[in-house]
Amino acid sequence: MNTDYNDMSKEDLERLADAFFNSSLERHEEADLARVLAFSDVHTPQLDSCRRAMGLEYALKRHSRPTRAFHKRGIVAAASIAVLAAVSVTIYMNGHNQNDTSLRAEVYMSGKRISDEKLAVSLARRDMESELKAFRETMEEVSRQKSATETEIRESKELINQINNSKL
Amino acid sequence: MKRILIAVIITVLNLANVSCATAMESAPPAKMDLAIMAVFNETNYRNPAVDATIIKGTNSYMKLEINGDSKLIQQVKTLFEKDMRRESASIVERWSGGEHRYIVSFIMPDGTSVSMSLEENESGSATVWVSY
Repeated sequence: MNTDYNDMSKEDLERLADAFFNSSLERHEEADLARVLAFSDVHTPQLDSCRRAMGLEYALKRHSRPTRAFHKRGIVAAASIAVLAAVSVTIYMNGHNQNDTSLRAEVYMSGKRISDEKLAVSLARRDMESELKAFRETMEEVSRQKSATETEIRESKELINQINNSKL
Repeated sequence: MKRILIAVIITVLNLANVSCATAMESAPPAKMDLAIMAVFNETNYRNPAVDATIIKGTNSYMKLEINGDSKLIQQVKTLFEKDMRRESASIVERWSGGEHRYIVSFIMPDGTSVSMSLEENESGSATVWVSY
């Protein structure tokens, strides 16, 4: 990611958030902004709206601290969740082995892993789509240039043939 | 006796089936032959000079953005160039706005295609990605 984003002031970020809402950011710029907002401690109503719009609720919630004591009911709930998780993992693994349509994503920023799986998948997908789109556009441009060059060569050959024939 | 024999045959066939499935799953995919795969590891992902994105599924995508770690950038360039020398590789080289970029695509021995890109700019950062 561009390190310039890390040094941005609140006003700069708000300007970018404005641009995001006006749909005037490039896809890779949106992805960069999402990454910055995911990790930034700067919170304003506008930036938080932007976080919500980008599906970064995780970044809004991460400062809240649970205060409830852990009691018996909690243990029962935790055990139920553990059983449910184990069943889910088994079902997932069975499905995964039969048909590899699942998607796993890992995103690291400056060496730190994003632990929120949904956020990681969202950022990774955006990044991949942006890069592959640029890749396809470049390949299409190369293909256009190649066919233009071939046309020029063919026309030049035809012209040379015409000149040679007229001399005869 | 006949029933026992049938049971033994069924058990042996089941075991053979499980063994084959396990062997197929543990067989390394052809993409692992790519030299550039060596940089996609936990050590580099945890490098503070690196942003990494890894997607694994039916289609996979792996990307490293390296800012300022010249040693790692040199390693990436060396490995990328090694893959560029594959016979089936088609290569596009571009310069624009101080950025130098290679785009490479080729067909692997198993018939699947791979696309790779290496982009380097004057400010000492490089981005490499592989998609297959």
